[in-house]
Amino acid sequence: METSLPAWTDRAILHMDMDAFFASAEQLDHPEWRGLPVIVGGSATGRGVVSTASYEARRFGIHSAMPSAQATRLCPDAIWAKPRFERYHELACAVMEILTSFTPRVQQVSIDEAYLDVTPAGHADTHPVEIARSIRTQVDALGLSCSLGVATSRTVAKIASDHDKPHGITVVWPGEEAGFLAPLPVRALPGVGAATATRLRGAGIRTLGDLATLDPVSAAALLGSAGPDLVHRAGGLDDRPVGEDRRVKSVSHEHTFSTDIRELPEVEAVLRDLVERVAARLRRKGLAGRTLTVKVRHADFSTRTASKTLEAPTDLDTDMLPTARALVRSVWTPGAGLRLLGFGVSGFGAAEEQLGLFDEAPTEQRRRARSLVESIDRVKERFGDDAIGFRGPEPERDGPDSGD
Amino acid sequence: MKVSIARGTLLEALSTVSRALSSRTTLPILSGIYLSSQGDKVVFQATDLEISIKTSATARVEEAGQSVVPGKLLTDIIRSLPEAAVTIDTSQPGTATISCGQSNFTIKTLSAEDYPRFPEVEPTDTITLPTEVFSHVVHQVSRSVSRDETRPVLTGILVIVDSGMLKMVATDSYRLCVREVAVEGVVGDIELVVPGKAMEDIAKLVGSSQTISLGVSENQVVFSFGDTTFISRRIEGSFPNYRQLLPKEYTTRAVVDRAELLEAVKRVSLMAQHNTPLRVRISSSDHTLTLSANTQDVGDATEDIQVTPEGEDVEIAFNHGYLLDGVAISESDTVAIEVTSPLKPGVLKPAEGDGFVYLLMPVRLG
Repeated sequence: METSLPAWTDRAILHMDMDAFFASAEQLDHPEWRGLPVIVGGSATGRGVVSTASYEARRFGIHSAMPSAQATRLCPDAIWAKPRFERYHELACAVMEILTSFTPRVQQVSIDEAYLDVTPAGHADTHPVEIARSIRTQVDALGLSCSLGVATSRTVAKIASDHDKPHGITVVWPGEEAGFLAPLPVRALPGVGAATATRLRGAGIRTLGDLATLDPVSAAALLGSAGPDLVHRAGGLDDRPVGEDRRVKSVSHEHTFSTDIRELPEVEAVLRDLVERVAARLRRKGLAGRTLTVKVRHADFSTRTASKTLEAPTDLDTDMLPTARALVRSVWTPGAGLRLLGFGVSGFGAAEEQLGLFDEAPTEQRRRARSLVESIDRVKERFGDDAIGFRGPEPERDGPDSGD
Repeated sequence: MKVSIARGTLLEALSTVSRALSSRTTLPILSGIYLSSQGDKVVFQATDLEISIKTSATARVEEAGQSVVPGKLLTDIIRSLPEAAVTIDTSQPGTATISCGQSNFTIKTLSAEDYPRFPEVEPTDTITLPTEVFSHVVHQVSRSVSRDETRPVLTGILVIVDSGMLKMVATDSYRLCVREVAVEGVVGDIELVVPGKAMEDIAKLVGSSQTISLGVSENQVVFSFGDTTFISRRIEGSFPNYRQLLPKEYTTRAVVDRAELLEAVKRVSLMAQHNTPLRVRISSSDHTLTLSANTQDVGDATEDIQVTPEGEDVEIAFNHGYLLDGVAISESDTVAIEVTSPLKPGVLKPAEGDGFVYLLMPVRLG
């Protein structure tokens, strides 16, 4: 595959946009809704508007921001779902995790879209188009779908991601920007709204090609101070950097089972593994979090999460395990089949700490626990994750004694 | 057993012993209240095996006997009745009939033979205190009692009576409260740790009784007031040496009107959400004590109080709940805040005199 791709030496910007994100999330959590028109928004009879319509619903002509009543007229049988933003946020975090695994230079611009700067630094670096394909595959694995644009600038990447929706990857190769943009209507350019488009139409400008040829003085006269910038971008000239959004909000890991698991020891063993992985990643990133979240997906695809906030931030698996276990038990009963188990840590805010009068004793214990996990981290770094770990026959207490 | 008793008297007795009703489902008998008639009295008992309460009330006893009646249900029934004479009749085996006016209830009873015997405590030391002083001091220190069972001794209140002084100490390891009062005419000396929950219950139950006596045995302590006997186990283990924890000096001290401080802490605390701390800045040059709080994504608040501090300028942060508790239970008109450093405990005490110290550990800012 790689060999068939022409080399990419220019700046490479990816724009990732989730496809019908909220509606897809609802179809993910409600398997019985898949393939059916799903509308996320107020209610069929209410006065609200459509927030997101699934692609099945879009075939009826329904789109975002359409009044509910009109959507109901177009598709009386549509399934209406109340938005569950917490759940969408959680899924968005999982998507962002995928993105940050390719490059730290990720800028999330809204809950369902982000820019990545994947400019290759040397020939060993993964080709931008390969990265786009991997991202799409990994987002597919979450049970969601995204479209991507690959280009040399943010503007072109953004327009490209919208070019072949859903589930498309549109590549605008270096040098092809102007040709790609020229035939598109002016409204395709981010920053051109209805009012600007009307004004441009009045001046006989309908396509981005028309707009790109406008001289800066006329542009300023027609569009005000934003004019020259729009003209530049219409020609594919845009050197705005991807603003790095390096504030990691959560670190999580999850495991999907090829066959459902249902026994407590099995679940606890997987949980322990997830907690260890997440804690090790926190330590590698130098983070400590307070909020622990456990996610389970049952055999019927229903997904549940449970969270608890600890007294103090931590990056130690031993601090997390008892709470993680309790959280799992709050959303899962031993014997019931589990498709997926996930564990995550968030809440990396300033590590304020309530000091105690009798702090000395636990501190010593913690110091020893920390030095132990740090040694384990070093072994894993050298010999791989499976080289060492806590594997007591009885996943009960997590003291150093239970390991070997 | 068949007795008649005024509804109000009965309800008071039931409410008193109900504090010892067990919620443990493994021992259903402990969900019952043991009733027995003696002379012209009905005796009520309940226990959860941690505490045992016995009280009595005057009644017209037509037939002596005893029975164990489901405690919560009985109390709920009596509470629902109008103010009149209530008859409890247990002559039908296994049932109790409760009649009042036109209302009749028949409820299944539990076996009186299975009910645990009321503990007999033979105190080695006994002291008597005015109830008003006792319950007031309990009220002050009980906020600082730990709810964390992993250090059992901190779930108790250290009670010391020595040389005419009553002292109670409680700490949850984040704050420590010491209250000391002189009690006229008190004889004897004792030192023990009593579960905080039991002390709070007793402080609520003493009601109109003039005095309360504490009888201390090796493992238990018996509190007697009015017609009521309240027995609790003592908490074993040594209470932390609180004297060692009290700072000997301070680098900054500010004296504040207590009511003003209380209101300010309450206001600024509204912006100390999700456990964010409340900051206290004391500045000699500005003559202010500034309280501030800032919750991310919510907002912030500040309030200045005019003071004349002595010592260095300092900023220290506390859990707002702990600070609020401390200011609320101080009773002097003015309080002194003493601080040594942002990571050392702060102290609240009366501006003048002693007998009350509330020490609170700071929050280290991230």
